[in-house]
Amino acid sequence: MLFHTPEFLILLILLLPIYWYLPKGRLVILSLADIVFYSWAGVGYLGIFFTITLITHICSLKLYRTKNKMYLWSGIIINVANLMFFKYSVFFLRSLEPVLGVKLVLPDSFWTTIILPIGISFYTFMLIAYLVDIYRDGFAPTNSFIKLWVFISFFGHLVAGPIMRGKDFIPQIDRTQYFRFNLSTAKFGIFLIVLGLIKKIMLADQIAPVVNQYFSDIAVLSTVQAWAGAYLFAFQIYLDFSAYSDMALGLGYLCGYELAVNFRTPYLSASPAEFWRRWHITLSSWIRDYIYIPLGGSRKGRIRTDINLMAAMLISGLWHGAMWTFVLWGGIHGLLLIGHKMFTKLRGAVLPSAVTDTANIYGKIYKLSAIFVTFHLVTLAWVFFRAPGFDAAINYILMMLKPISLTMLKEEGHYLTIAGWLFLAHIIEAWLRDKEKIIAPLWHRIPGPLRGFTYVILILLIIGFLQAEKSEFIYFQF
Amino acid sequence: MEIKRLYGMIWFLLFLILIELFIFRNLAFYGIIPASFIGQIQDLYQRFDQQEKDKIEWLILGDSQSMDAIRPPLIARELKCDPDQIFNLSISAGKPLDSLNILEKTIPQLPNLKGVIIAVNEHQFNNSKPVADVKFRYFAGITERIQAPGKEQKAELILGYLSYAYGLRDVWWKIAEKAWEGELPQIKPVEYRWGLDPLTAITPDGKTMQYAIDTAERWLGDYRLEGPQTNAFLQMVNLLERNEINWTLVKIPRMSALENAIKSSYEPQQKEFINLMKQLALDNQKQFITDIPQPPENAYRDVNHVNEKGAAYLAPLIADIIKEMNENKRSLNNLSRGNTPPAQVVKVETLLVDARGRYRYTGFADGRFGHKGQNRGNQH
Repeated sequence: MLFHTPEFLILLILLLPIYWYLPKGRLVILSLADIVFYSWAGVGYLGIFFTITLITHICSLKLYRTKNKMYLWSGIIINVANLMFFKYSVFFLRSLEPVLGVKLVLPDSFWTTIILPIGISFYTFMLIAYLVDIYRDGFAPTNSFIKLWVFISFFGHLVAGPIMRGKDFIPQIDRTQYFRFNLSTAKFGIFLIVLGLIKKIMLADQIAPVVNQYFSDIAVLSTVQAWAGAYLFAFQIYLDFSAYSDMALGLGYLCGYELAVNFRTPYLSASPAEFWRRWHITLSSWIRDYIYIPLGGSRKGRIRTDINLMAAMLISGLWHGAMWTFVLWGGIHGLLLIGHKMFTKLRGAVLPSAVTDTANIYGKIYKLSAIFVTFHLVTLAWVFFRAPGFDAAINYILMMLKPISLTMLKEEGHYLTIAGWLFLAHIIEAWLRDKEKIIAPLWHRIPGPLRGFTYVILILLIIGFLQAEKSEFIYFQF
Repeated sequence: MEIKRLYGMIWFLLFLILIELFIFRNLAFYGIIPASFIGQIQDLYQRFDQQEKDKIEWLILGDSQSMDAIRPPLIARELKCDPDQIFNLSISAGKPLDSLNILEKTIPQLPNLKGVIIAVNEHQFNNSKPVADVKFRYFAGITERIQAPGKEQKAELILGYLSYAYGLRDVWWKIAEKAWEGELPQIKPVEYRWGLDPLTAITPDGKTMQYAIDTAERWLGDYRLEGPQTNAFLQMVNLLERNEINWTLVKIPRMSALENAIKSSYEPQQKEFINLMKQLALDNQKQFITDIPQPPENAYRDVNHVNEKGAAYLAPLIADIIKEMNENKRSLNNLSRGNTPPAQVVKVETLLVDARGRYRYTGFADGRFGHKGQNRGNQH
């Protein structure tokens, strides 16, 4: 079920009044809604999801009581094995084929029938984090399976995050029956959902056809088109993913929950490190806490730190998809992070500190330049994420590096202009989010009829932009 | 203070309800583009309203095929009657639910209505994708929408019922685009009073085998006879029966290319449709006429639609049907004026085929029509 589909809206309309009216039954109601949501596309994988969650629940209780690492590793292995089987088995087999010189994945064989269960990458990470937090931090697991089920399967975050931690979400779930309906929170939730719909339907989905066209026929692209396609994809994936996250947060608020923020206008980052503090925040913090730090983090010397960083980013890339281009994308970001660390050291040694002080003009110029450079490095990396294969990605990058003429800019610069407007919108979004506490009261000073009319126009625009064939969210494929 | 913050939401809901009621659920709004699928119905009603209702005795129902093939002025010439006695309610892509809604609106205004000719085609009874029919999205009630197959279709249609702004978004969005481009309103002078204008445009490659194959695929691909359109047809038949209006089902001949394309790939589906029509006619002691001679090839503008020449060719045959219906109507009138059927009522359960190969059903040995609800002796 997609958030912008009629079946989801009907589920929400049926769910929310009953949910708020029956406090004691809320967890059961949510569980059932989660089951309907997950099994909408097919009941089969619900069984696997349910079983994995149940096994993790049993392991968590045993782990907490006995502190026996065996339960930790059993739980992790089962979850990773589940993920590996569905997501990576065919990928690894196909990768081995050229090495062994044997066809391992035959057409019509069992391997070709494997379908990736929805949300598997997300729920696997949440369950692993849950077990590790119990073992490492002494977090007390919930004794109630239904609470764990609601935590893991909550429809708001199940299929594309945010990746919640048990220690953050389960205490909220414990209080579910005591929630009181708060109008402001509900309105904020609706605002986030509408914002997400605008980003997804009116922006991301309108950009998608151009991006698809450019990336499907790389050989005929001009340099301007190649840059335009890369910029537009950068915004498409941001708008698509952040739209989903906004809606997830909004849905959480409608149910009384506060989910984690996943994006903070990442293209305004002044460094790769900052980018990963603003992009898919819950994933990068998961990678940091459950891969980078256990590998040693920055505690084992400079070289080991760099290796740990690269390993973490390669795993992050692989998590995104079973293709070498995703791994390469992760590797590029690993190099950017390592490179940035070196640059920061060098900058500190060579340039005066006033350069990075944004209180003065030099600092401001430096920051703007840093944002410009970081955005372009990230955009170049996105080419590997989007291109259908390694060769295609390289060809695309080579197209981008060819010289541009003014004539080319004049004739084909239309989509570059759109990318420019999108960047401006990104800046405005950052400003609005920063000033939300000031803007909201100002907005409510506008007369009710005018506000109401504005909402109607917005909703009609969203509805009008909705096409008959629903386009999925990009991160659903992970 | 909290209530004041709600004012925006309250006004939003109020505006939304008003827009729903007065714009998106208003047929006249879609009539701004009379050539559109929903707009044509508003156009049809406007033409109907201009007729003298007392004069209308015969109605035609169907789709674009009968719109082109059955032209009241040509038939009136054969019958030597006033063309205003006949009105063609066929619409482009007309389906049973559309016909039902149109009949429900028009029958009460026609005190002298004698009969209805219903032109049927396979596509009208394909219930696999009602969501693709924008007229269905306008006319269907909640019951019809729930009958749609597949949960996504049901959800789409149910939400479309709650909000016509959502359900008909592709239609009003086009209207908005045309308004923005300054192409509205699209007013065309009405010269042809007896229904919607028969189409004259020749479809490029419309007589080719490929076109026939594509048409057959569009009509009969993923064919599903059970569903809301078929149920609407049964309701329409019941409506006519309740109002004691005579009716006849007619299959207007198509070009051989289309018939062959259907037979080669979709014969079982077509048989299903034919059997349903036969059964309905049989159950109600009406005719399902399938043997109208095929006009020559140059009488068609594409594999499914005749041109003016074809309409002229078919006019005497349709006139014959009306004559027969008229005679049966006289029989009905006799019965309703207290004439009782003869004592020896023969229980005829088999389908009779007359000399012209038409299926007839009669419950009386002397060949008179029985009427549902009366003592017929022909129960199934």
